[in-house]
Amino acid sequence: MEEYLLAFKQPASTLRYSAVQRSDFEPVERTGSAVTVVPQPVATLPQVGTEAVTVRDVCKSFGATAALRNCSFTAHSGEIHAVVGENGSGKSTLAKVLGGVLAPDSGVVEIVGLTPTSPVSAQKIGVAVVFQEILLADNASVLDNLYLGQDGLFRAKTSRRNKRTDAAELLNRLVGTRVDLDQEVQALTLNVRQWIVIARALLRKPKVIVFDESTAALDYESVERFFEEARRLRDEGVCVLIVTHRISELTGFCDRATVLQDGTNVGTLKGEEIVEKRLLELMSSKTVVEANEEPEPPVTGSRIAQETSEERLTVSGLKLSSKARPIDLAFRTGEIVGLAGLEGQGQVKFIRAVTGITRPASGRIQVRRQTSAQTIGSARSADRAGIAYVTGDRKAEAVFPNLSVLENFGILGYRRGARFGFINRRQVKDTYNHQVEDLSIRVGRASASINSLSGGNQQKIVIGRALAATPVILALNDPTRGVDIGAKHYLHELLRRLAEQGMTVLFLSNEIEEFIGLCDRVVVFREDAVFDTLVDEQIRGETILAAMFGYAEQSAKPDDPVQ
Amino acid sequence: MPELSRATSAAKSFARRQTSLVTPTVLFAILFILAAIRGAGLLTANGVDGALIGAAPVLLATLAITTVAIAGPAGVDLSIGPAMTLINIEIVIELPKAGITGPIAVFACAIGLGIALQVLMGLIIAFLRVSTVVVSLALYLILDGFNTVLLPEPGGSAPGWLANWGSETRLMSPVLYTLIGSFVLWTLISRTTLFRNIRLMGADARTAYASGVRLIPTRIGAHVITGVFVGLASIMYTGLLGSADPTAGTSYTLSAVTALILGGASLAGGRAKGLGAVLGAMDIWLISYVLGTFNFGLNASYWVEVATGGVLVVALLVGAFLANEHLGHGWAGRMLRGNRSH
Amino acid sequence: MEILAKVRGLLSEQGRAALAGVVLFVLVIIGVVTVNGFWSLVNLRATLLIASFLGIATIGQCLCALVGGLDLSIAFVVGAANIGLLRLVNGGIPSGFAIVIILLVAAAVGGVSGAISSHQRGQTLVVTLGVGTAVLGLVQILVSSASVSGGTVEGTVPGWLQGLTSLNSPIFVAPCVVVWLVLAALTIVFLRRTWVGRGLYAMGGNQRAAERALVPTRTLWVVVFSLSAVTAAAAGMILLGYTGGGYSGVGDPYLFTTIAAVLIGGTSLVGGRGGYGLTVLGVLILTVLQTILSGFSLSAAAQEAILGLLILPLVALYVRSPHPRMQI
Repeated sequence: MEEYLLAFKQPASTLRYSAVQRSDFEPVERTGSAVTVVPQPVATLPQVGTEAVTVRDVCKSFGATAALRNCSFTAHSGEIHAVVGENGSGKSTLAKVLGGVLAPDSGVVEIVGLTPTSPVSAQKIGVAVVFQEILLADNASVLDNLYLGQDGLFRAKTSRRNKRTDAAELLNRLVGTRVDLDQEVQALTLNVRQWIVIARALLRKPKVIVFDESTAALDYESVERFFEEARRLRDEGVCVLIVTHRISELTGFCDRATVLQDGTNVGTLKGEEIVEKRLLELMSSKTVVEANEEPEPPVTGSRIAQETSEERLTVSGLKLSSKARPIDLAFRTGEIVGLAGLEGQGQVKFIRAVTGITRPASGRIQVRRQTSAQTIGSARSADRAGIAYVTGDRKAEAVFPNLSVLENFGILGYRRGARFGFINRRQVKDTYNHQVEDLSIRVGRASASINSLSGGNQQKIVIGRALAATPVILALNDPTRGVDIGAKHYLHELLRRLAEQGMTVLFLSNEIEEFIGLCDRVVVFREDAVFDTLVDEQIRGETILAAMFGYAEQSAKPDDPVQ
Repeated sequence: MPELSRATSAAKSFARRQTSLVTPTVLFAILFILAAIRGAGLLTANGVDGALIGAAPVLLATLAITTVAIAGPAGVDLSIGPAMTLINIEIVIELPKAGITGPIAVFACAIGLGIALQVLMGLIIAFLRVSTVVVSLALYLILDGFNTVLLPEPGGSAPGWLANWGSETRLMSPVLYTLIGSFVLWTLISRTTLFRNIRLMGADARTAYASGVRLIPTRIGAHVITGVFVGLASIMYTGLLGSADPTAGTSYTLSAVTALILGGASLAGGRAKGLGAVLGAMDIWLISYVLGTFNFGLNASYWVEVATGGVLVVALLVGAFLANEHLGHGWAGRMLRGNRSH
Repeated sequence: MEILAKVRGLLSEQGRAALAGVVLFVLVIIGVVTVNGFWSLVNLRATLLIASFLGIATIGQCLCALVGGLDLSIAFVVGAANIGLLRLVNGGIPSGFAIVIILLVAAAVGGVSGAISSHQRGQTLVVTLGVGTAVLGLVQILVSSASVSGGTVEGTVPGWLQGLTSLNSPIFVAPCVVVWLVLAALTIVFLRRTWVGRGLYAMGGNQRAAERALVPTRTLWVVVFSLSAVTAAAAGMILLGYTGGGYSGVGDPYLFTTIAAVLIGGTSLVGGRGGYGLTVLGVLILTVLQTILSGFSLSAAAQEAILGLLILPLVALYVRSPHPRMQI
């Protein structure tokens, strides 16, 4: 506790950061570098401990889907309060409601006693929200983006020079390196872009700040700095809300954690209660029932033994970019192979090359069936060779919002099954019914709009249509994004079943935990090439993470210096 | 030296951001040389004067629709031609009936009417969230029809001080003054935070919204600015025409839109520049000037159409190539963008 | 809340058809009541004939709207085909050949528009405007002789072409109307039952997802604009039979009326929603409206203004974008 008090005795202009935890925990000390801070006048912040955010019986629905159901929750100033839940639990909707972007259908939302009705009023009240989607104006400069919305109608609130100084100090500290304030943001990496939206919120000196999944786009070192920043804000009396589904980050970091499920608050944990186990218990308290309702896909026998499996997909000399090392990989029937890597390290490029969506710089991809070998050069040739692609980014790449459930399903197979250009409706309907049953898709009328389905069921439609083409290789790109825990488990079981039946499965995911227990091996990508392949017992969270950072399993030394 | 490197990097990023101006500038150079070769008279004082007068209405009309194009989305304002015609009719026929003929009053009324029309459009676009092109299409039809109903045949004559702008021979004419005044006004306006917010709103409306930019006032503001320049363009047009004509002005829609595109504007919003609009308008005018120096006889206007359409398409292709929006990884685009890879 | 639900229900396919049908019905009633001789065989046949010109020209616009584009070159292609055909026929080329040539050239022109705009979808309006203007100018230059400007072309129109649009045909309606109905049926079936047709809807709904679903988006975009020019050319050639003389400006009204008809019928300009059946209703509504307004002795100018006033509320219904807050 003493170190904690000591920090405040230093002059305000220079603070040595001692991120000391509250007395409940074992003290963990971490020191940051000495920095200059723009002092926050304490008088404008509500007293530490007062209720800063009040949400009472808030309901919000989008059409048939209820995102928030009588949700009630409170947060205090001077605390780090996590809002936790699976995808679809309503946490992002809550963030939007707090930010004034969405108005609740009913209930009370109060921030320091006032209700935000629009982003403008929310800012006046003193709420800043960093939304899940990184909102930047691409062809504007970094500086313009940082002060977006702050100026009045005709004159700026702060002079341009002051803006520059404040922005430079803050941003350079957060990012860790100097950022050119005049360049256009579209040229910057995802990490820097995320920092810019965070900095934008910080520059407003808010009383309440909400971070919606802000660590997802940050690289490893940045996440540490993020935590430091959050603690600093907390220490200054700001109410820090962290909306996330990455519960492993929360232990030992937040003061309280509220768990949302299906739009309601199922419980709040305090201090040392915040451990993964308890959070998981709370998060699945409702879906345990639902998960039990999901029928298990029939498990038919054991995996095809390695000896009887054959090579299905070969990748030779594949260069994902002109300067990358060539990749040589072979995938066998009955295998589930995980593809992992830090952001932009080539695993997405790889899967897109294999499915023919993009052309690699050079190399050859071949699919072998019995006697023939087909080379992949385009999405159509991949489809003909028996490769199916399933994406997790449904909204961008898979779902047609203007079409019905049946059409969303059938569109992939229309051309293939067409007779003289005419769609074979009978065949489409039969295949649809078959897949709906097989995958236990919860759907009403087939002619209803696709928007009437939940995220998980929409994903099942996408998977079903891929499977309807009877592929021999299934390539999935982050398929469990935005899908609830029950559907996630179902998908894993489905993949196991398909592999047992001989399918080759490529499974790209950003959540390392998914690989464990599912994949036969995990291929880790770095710099557009294969860095390491992990098999059997090597497939653990730590080893995969280490590989992503350049620590190969074979050697103890890092492959190249971590920047 | 950190200041020097900062300055050079700022200059470099500034230059890189001006890629949209490459097309109209290059085009201008080509056309200017052609024009000078074909008609040496252009380079005399008389020639420049004539050029100014001829190009002025298109210039101002293009500048007018630039703001709406920046505000996005799909910011093509098709109503500019009929709007100019309506104000023209007002200046020549209707206002004198009410005794309004003095320069200050006429300027005020023209600008006021321009603002009124634009704000009407702006309110519909802002509150109903309908794209500009469709609303302006409706307004085009309404105004075009209304103009002919209001004045079936060309006629009348502009107020005295305005009537002989077209036959001015001195360089320092009211035409030049009005043009310079308009440019100064534009420069001042483009430095306001309102204008910056318009640009940001046009580039990404939801980001602007989430960051606290008030979309509706900003959009109305964009239309007010446009309205001012619509009024100025109409005055210039009336000065050149000397009378009122119910249909001659509609061609300004096509000319202004073409000039806007030639000037490098992207209809998606957030990108157009005033300088680009001016260059584009001059390119349009130069095309008809250069073609006028050939003796096409009956086919003169057709050749202008062919050239205008052709140049437009080529300009779009070149613009796409430079911006590397889709056409492969062109070396020119890479050079200008500093070799960043997607 | 119920109002919103009702409006949303209106926006479904059936809702739009119902709304358009009701509007048409109301207009016909108004016509019968206010205009003398409205409810007569003569008027009915004349209305259908006029509608068929617009209807054929609008097929292409409907397809373009479905994929999220707009073709502003239709008016110019109509005019170019109009004077082009007469010039070819007068030049000694048999009319059958001449028609085929014009259609092929139109397909090529549309293909060029499509190819250029497929790279920059946002600039489609401007590309088609530019291509259309250039093509019409070019054709006018080619068609004009030493003494006569290319704007009007004198000559003899083939008899059978005139017969196509004649109201004195043995069957109930002018043959041209039958041509339109056949084309309409083909288009509707094409859009509903073929993989290409559904592919267009997919493209309009989600471009990238369509590519993933192996819809050849780039090719189809070009095909759609090519078809648009072909139908515009067909309309232009048919109009030659109707007016009896070549005039390059004959297509001018079609610049905006094709867009209006598509909109009035309820096809969204954003893409993916609507269809040609709805567009037929839109064409009929527009034509009946024009007949009524003519019956009021309203000048063409006044009719134009009223058309503009009509488009506004429709646009408010069918071409709205969601509030930015829904896209965060």
